[in-house]
Amino acid sequence: MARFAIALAGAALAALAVAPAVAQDRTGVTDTTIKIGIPGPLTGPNASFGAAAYGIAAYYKWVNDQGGVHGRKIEAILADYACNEAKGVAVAKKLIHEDKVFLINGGICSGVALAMRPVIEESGVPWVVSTAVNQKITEPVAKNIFHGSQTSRDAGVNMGKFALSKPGARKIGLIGHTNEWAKGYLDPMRDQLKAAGVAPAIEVTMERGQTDATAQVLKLKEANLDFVGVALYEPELAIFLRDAHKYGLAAPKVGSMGADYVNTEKRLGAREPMEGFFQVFQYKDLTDGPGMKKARDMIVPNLPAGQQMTDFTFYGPGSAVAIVHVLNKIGRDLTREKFVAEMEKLKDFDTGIVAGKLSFSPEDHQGAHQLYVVGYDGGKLSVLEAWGKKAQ
Amino acid sequence: MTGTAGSGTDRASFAASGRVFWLLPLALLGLPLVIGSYVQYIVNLTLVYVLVGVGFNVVLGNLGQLAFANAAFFGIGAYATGTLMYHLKAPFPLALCAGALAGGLAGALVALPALRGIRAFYLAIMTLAFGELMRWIYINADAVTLGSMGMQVPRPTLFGYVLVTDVDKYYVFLAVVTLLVAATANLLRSRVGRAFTAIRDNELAAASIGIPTARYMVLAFAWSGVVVGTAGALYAALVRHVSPEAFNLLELILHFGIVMVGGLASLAGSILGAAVLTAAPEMFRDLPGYEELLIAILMVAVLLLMPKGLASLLARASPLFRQRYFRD
Amino acid sequence: MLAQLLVSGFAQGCLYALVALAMTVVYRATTVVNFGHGDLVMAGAFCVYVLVVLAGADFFLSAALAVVLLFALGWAIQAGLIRPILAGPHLSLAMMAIAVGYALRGGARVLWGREVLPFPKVFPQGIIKLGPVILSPSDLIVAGVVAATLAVLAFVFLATPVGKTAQAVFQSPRGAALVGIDVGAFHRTMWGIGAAMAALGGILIAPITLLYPDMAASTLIRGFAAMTLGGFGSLPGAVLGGLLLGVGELLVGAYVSTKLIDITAYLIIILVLLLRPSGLLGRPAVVRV
Repeated sequence: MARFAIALAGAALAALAVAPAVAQDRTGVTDTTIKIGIPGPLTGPNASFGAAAYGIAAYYKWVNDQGGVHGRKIEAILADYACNEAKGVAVAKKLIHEDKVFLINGGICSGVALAMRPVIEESGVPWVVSTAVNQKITEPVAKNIFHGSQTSRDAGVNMGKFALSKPGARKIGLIGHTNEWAKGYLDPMRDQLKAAGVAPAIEVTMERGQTDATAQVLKLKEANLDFVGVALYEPELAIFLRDAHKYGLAAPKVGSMGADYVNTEKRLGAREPMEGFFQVFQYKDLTDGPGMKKARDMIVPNLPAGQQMTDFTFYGPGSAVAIVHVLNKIGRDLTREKFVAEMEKLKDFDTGIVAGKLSFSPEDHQGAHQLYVVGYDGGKLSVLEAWGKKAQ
Repeated sequence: MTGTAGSGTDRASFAASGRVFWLLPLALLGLPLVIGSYVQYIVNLTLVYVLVGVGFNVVLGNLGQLAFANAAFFGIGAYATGTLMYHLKAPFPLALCAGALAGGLAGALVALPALRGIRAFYLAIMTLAFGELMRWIYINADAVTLGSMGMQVPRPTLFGYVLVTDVDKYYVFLAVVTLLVAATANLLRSRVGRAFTAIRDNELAAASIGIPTARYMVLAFAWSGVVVGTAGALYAALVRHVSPEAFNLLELILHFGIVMVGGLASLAGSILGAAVLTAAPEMFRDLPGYEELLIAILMVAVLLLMPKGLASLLARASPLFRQRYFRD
Repeated sequence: MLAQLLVSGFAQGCLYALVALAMTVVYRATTVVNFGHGDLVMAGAFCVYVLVVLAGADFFLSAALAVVLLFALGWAIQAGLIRPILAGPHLSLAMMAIAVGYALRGGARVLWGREVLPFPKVFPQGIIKLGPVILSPSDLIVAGVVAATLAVLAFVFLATPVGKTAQAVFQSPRGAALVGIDVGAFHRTMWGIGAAMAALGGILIAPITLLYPDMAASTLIRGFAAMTLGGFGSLPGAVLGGLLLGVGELLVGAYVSTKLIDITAYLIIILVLLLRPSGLLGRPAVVRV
């Protein structure tokens, strides 16, 4: 009897193990097309982040112009959620049930991506997160969800490391929004500092929409800092740097991703406030530098009319390059199960866009970790690895 | 102010017309059979916004008070429900009641300045400040609200049964919405509702004929808070993620849009308005980026050309509807 | 630090004062509170951008033109959208103002929502040191413009018949019409002036906030706070309220917590309306029932 039970259990286990291999999901794949959904904020106050979604679509267009993937063209479906959670869930359901896409490649605005996670996880549709930085989107691991870009934890750790790489830097202050996006950077940065025995000397906040940073700058200045960690969106970052320059807050500053370095300088209309400001940088090279030429040639000519190239344009296509690589590797017989399995096998893959290399495993779905820092070094905009040390 | 009992219709036909109300939810029972999963979600979201519109309309349309705290009621309901479900693993019916109660209390609280004689634009500005203050509290009371990242609300459970699919939620939502809309309709048709109207049309006159205006004002705000707070509770169960940004000024403009486009002081209008504006992203799918502009133009057009909103179109089409659900 | 905070708060307060002044002018003359004022501020700044950057015009010419254009826009909003529903409830008027503002913002988003626009650099760069206090030239320019605007408004409302007209129209439009005042034209003009002042505000704010469709969203509620604190409908009150709010925000931020900067305005609104609804310089804001 006991033996029978064991046999039965064994058979059941075997059936379970075999079952996924039997149920092959080819939704969204036809003889000639592969449907890929690209959710992002194309409207609303955060529409400028939508550039990443247009960048992904432009890359797929380039892939199609080269003949597609094993004879199939990629049918990219852009879907707008205006950085609104209720709309984000709607968009996820639309892509899954209405458009019946094969996979999803996108996700910008971490709050919305977090709201989308349970919906997409339950559906089993593969999702390669392109831009949203919160590590909780892919933590704990969901079988079908991958992070194709660095998380804010990587960035925060890098911000801490960079500040500490300046010889003698001990007094470090932090300024950020009160939102989760900013915490996503400043919490790991704080941990990184604490690991080195440095507690932040002062922490101040700046709400979105403020047009003045006098109180914050004066408080930071009084604390007599060696370095300042900054997690602010672009409009507020420009205001903070302007006031920091005005009131002579001379300590060097390291900022998070989410603001564009060149655009910030454009907003300020002056170079001086940018001196001494460094920013975590997620690409191989400056977006107008030689290291990104190949990416520019693929993407920029394929952007829709009226869509300008910004730094954000490339904040997404890196994950798309990895997807196309995996699709090519799988071959003609394409299933979702195979896609997930092949993604998990991807090791040291160079996207030509994202800094460092992408590696996934069944236990770790966060592929990218390497980051640089961009800023003026000796009067020239450069990509740095550490204080005073250019990236290779 | 005609349209309710006593305008010459005989009692029997009026009672019959009352039963027509129940036909709509009955007809809607079969809806999940004919629509897909995505549309089902949009329908559920529409049900949430039906309550938002119906509740807001009580204060805006029936009581005639310029209150801007609706997004705050919505958020308070969602947070009360989400907090109970997340921290205390409360069953959904209990959390739902808590959301309604919290909304009602917030409503009563907002009515207090109105009792001190603050009206019109002053009330508008004050309630606007209240809404923004609540958003600051959601962000900064992070021990309870989990701050700006928001809360991942667990799956709602109903008497031990877990509501997994949107169809499950749909039947629960439909029941809750039907009950609250019916209750609101009855309230507005009653002596209380007539008192609201009297206050809206002439507060001094209402007070002078012995209507205790203060008490009715608190009641209207509290009921509005209950309905909108319940909407927040349903939102928490549907989207399962509650965060401060979901209750900002843009959300408030959407609420205004639902009431104005549907029709001030019209229950059916709020239902229509919710349906139209929730489906708006679908309608504008071919015009990405134009949604805000088009909703704004729709609002301007309704204000200029159809001050009674879409409900006035219904009224023109159906005499029965006009007699029972429309006032002009 | 205190001296610096007071001076910087004063400069910041001047911007709030300008917003509050413009809304007060419209309110005093027409009894309508323009909930879309922030978006008019944005529209004024975008006008300058279009004229300078896209059409290549001179900055000062563009600024003057933008003020005129916004005057025309305000005039047209009143004539085309507000007047037809003027007999309706307050609610419709407030909604119309919100909807118009929302439309302006939506339009700006369609045209420029996805990119960052550098506003032409017109204010002299650099800093001015007065002892321990640091000022930027734009601080002085903003303060100068606000002072000049206030002086002009004070003159117009106190020393010309406009003040009496405004009072008459505010109290009873019908009575004013009976004594020969063209109430319609007066309303349109005042909306025009309010919008023109919004353009002025936009031109002053844009070099600071830079151009994006939501650039003025947070100034609106601060303008309300300034009006409430100073006393609703009072021109000097709007200025006083704006300045106090500007200074108050910085003091709270520096000495209590930077987290409180954002809610200073909301708390002021709630506390003032509960405790002293007439504000510092205004008339009572409550109705007796």
